[in-house]
Amino acid sequence: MPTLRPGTVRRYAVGAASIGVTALLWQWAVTGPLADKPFATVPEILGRLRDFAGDPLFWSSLGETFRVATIGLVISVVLGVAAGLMVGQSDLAYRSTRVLVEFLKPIPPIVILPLLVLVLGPTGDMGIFLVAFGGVFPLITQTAHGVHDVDPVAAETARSFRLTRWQRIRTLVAPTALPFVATGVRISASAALVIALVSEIIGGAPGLGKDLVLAQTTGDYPAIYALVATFGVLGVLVNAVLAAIERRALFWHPSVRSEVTA
Amino acid sequence: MTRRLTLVALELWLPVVAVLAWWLWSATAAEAFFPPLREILERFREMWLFDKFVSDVVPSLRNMAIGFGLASILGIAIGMVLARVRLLREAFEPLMHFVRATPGVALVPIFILILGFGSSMKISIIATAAIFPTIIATMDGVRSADPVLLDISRAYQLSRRQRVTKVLLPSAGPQIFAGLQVSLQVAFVVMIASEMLGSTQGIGALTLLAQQSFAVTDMWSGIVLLGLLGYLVNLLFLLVRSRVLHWYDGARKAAKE
Repeated sequence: MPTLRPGTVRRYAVGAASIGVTALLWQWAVTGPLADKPFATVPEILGRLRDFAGDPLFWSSLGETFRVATIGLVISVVLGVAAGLMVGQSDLAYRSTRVLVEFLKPIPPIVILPLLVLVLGPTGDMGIFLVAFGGVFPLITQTAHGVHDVDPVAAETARSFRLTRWQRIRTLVAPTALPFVATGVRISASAALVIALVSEIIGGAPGLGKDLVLAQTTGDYPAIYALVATFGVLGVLVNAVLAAIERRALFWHPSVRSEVTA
Repeated sequence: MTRRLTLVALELWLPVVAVLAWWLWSATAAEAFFPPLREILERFREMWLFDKFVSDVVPSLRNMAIGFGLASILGIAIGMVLARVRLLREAFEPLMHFVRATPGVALVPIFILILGFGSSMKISIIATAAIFPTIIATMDGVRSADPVLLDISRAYQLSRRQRVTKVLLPSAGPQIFAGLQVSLQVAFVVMIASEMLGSTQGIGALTLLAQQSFAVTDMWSGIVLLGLLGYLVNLLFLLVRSRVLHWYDGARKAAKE
């Protein structure tokens, strides 16, 4: 049971105070020196966020963004882990694909966005493809790395016990590789939301990102800032949920155990 | 020697086969969206070497270099201050995690409204989006410095300047570079995004305009250039990193053996 120590209370108090001061400064700036600039006041932004909460269109945009990010992520996990297992278990496959993967990995998905828009149009499918493309490479390399990391003595032991291929994967490869895969999933998952938004902001696919561009072109300033604030909150939530899942799924692994005791 | 050659051949056969397959397939496929690779490379030479080089490639790379440079210097400085001053750290941490979780590309429309479509908008948004990974990594790196090192530097009465440049920065170096690498990737993405949203200048703008006007071969040559740049920028960064951190990589290698 976590208890609130004085240090924690202080940290929350200082953090809350600084958010309050920032809001006041913002309000002062946009009503004073920046009044004729494209900003919105704090009450306007908060009011728009409240309107969003009761607006089915907002929720359907949010749902669409989430759908694209989630399906794309699932595809990249399935493909990435399968490819990573293959690449990691065979030296031949590892060496053959290394240059290709290392070349493609640092290329951000936004680069192929024009091609995807041309072929698939400004659709959710385009977004899903983009998310999957962006997420698959970290998963391939992380999984392959994890499989490579299997303790040689344990591998020899498994061979002398004549474990079947499936037994070997379940009892030997999976426990070693899982933390690496989890890291890959976390990297790809936090990228998934961003890439989904990119496919909407630049590619024109439906979702919250497209709403942002619409708000920009119509000059609806409160909506712009309310949407960007929504993205920030979503990002923080996704990161928190991922960290919690990782702690729960890997509670037995040293990297997580030391984190808890520290 | 033969073993070396075999290894090189093992690593290179698939990329070579992939490019060859693309070349042969696209030569006869007659797919509207997948023009022959030969034509793409021809357009690549015509466009980027060097017709649009000065007008578009140089401004793109200059914006990214300035934006990333600003983000690196300010990010390390701010991270250092936040690591050392507890009150500031506690005040800025929640805000920082919030802004960092906001995708940089989503801030581009706001920056366009405020600053227009020029270079100042592009440089500002690149620097703003790229600064947070470096701040957070520097902060974590400096905070996790070995306490013994800090005690020793106090015992030797190092000046504040010496403590920062000789002890804190080197010991946080590996983490700072990890943060800088993320910042660089963000800078590259935001560079492209800032050009794709309504601009007419830059590699990203030309690529998207080509797509919108169905100039498929031009679009492909833009994609090839951006892909190559994405790879090369990362490679350059890794070279610099291994030069600066060779002591760290050496120590790790020794520890493993």
